[in-house]
Amino acid sequence: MRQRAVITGMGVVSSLGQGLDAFWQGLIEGRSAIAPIDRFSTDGLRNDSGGQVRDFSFSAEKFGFDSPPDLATQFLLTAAREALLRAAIAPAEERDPGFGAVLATNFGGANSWEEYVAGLLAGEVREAAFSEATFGTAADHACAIFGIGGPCTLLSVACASGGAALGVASDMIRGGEANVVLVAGYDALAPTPLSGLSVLRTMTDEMIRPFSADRSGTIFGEGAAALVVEEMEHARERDARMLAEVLGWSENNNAYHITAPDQGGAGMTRVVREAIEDAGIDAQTIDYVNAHGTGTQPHDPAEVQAVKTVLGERARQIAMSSIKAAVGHMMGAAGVAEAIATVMTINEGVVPPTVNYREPDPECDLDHVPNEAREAAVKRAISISAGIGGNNSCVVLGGVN
Amino acid sequence: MADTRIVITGVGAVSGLGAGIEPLLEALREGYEPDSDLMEADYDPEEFRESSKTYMDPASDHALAACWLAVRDAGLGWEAASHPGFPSDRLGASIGTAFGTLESMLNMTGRVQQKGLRFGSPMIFTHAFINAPAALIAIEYELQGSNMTHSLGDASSAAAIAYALTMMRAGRADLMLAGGCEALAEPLIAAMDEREEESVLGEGAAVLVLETAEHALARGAEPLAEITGATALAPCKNDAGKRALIAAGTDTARVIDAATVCGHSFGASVALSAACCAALAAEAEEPLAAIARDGSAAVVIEEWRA
Repeated sequence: MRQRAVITGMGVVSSLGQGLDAFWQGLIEGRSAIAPIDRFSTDGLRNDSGGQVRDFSFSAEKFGFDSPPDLATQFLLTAAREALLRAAIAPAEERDPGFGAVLATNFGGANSWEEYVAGLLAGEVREAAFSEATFGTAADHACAIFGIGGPCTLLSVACASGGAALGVASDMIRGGEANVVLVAGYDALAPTPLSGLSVLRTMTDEMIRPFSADRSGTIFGEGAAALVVEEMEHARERDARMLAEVLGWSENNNAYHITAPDQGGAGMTRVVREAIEDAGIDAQTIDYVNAHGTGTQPHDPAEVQAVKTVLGERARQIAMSSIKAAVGHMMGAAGVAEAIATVMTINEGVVPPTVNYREPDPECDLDHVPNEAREAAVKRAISISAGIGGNNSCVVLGGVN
Repeated sequence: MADTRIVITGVGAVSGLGAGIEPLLEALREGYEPDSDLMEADYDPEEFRESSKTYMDPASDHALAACWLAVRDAGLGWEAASHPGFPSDRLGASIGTAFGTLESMLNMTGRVQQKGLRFGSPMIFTHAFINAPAALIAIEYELQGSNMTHSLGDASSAAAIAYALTMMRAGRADLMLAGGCEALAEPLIAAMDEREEESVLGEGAAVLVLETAEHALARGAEPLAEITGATALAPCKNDAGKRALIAAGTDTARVIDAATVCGHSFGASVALSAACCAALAAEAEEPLAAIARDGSAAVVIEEWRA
């Protein structure tokens, strides 16, 4: 009998504000935090807006830094600290071998990378900026600060990273490799990734409108989302509040094209089917789908089709919403932030809406919960993610009785 | 779950010593010492690819070349970039890299900073994602199952191999190409010079073909070795002990370090050493191990006994 993985803590830094409460309140109020980016010049991008984190405070000293780490790492550490506090897990004095970490990012220390390249172009080698730009450095910091001494990795499978990270962590618990695993997805808005996403035309020149007939692309956001995943008995013994169980997951690759979606969303269909099979539950018991829902023309119908194919009739009876128009596409943090929204839905009985929705699309004809949150009893839900490189992931979450 | 035995049926490597595992093994046997501070990969990427490419980052070149060699070494007969008789969704790839596609990143950011945000190149950008090498492997060999990229400093490829092992033991895949790649791009070399890094620096890639023993034997493959443990633990620079080795299931293994002959290749180092372990396992009297430089990750490989 394998171990069961439960979620006992959550933390968020998003454009809706700092902390889980600001995130969830913003979502259910149907707010969108998308606004013009003012941290760097957006001149030349298809869109000057994004889900930028504002009024963010980070005390380098509190985390033991002489000088602040990269901005994305600041988001990561802040969200992770909140998740651990909420789970009532104190930082270990010594490295705890039963405490693991799975981190996820698309671009790592992207702002430090900009600084490093600016230095190189000026004939100067800013070694500290290179170190902060290096993906693994964030894991060095997080593990040292929180006393993590168990199994660890840092994943990067584009926008499918966050969902995959939660799955990988749940496997560490189910396989008995760790008692507690910190899962965190993080990314920061920076000129190079936004330039790339703009010239690829993934970014809309109008507004992000998932599932709406007039959708024209996505808008990116930033921040971090963190979860504490724990072995069920371990959580029970210390009387921790169990917020949800990770019932199953899957990740895969379309193996079709590095940017274009595969035909008919075959990869996404398989990932959803495999995740539900891994959970060992009947697809007809799924009550809610938290969609990847980026708002690009080709993606949204492919995702709707994948859900219809796997869930059959059930797809028409339940809600399938996207939070991306509220916080922007949070890249490596998206999958974890969406898992958190899903856990909140299970606990609060409220489905967050798809905001900025205007016109029904015959190809996206499920209940996308346009613009206003809705009460719904949700016991089991799935959260889907997909990304550049053809990577897909899906997580199945359930309430804990 | 843990009863599922995982074997290595093929290895592929490219390094400063050339293409293939043989130059590495020979150099290890002879106690070769690099005579340069930089051991740049020495092979022609065009010779080790299934399909022609208009643009490739060097890190992806290395990864694809190592796969090409590994797939042939495993006798998989995937020359036509397809695999008759193998369900694609049971095949995967797990790749580790500490720095990834830095040359493409520099190219992209250079354009953005010098010309403006409008002038990023869509092609270079897609190849600049750190998961590009693993995604290109999936496309090249139609691997529609598990696909993962790990970036955890010197432990990157150990994390990638550990991941593949976990996925296969959990029954999520039958065969995975697992390893790591690293490219000595200008931004990396500049930072290492500034850091006064004393080791000889190397680059390249190594990939192991991992299969469940059942899968390998069913197709009549002769395993090179068995992979008995792989673990990546939280990075901990001051850890002198071989805790990862113990976590991987042994404290008596003989450590093989390919970095002594082809330079320290960061995220690819453990994979390069592991490929050598796999090739040497049949003659070894004890388990062999590849460990990350900081001791935080290890891969343990033993002689295959049915």
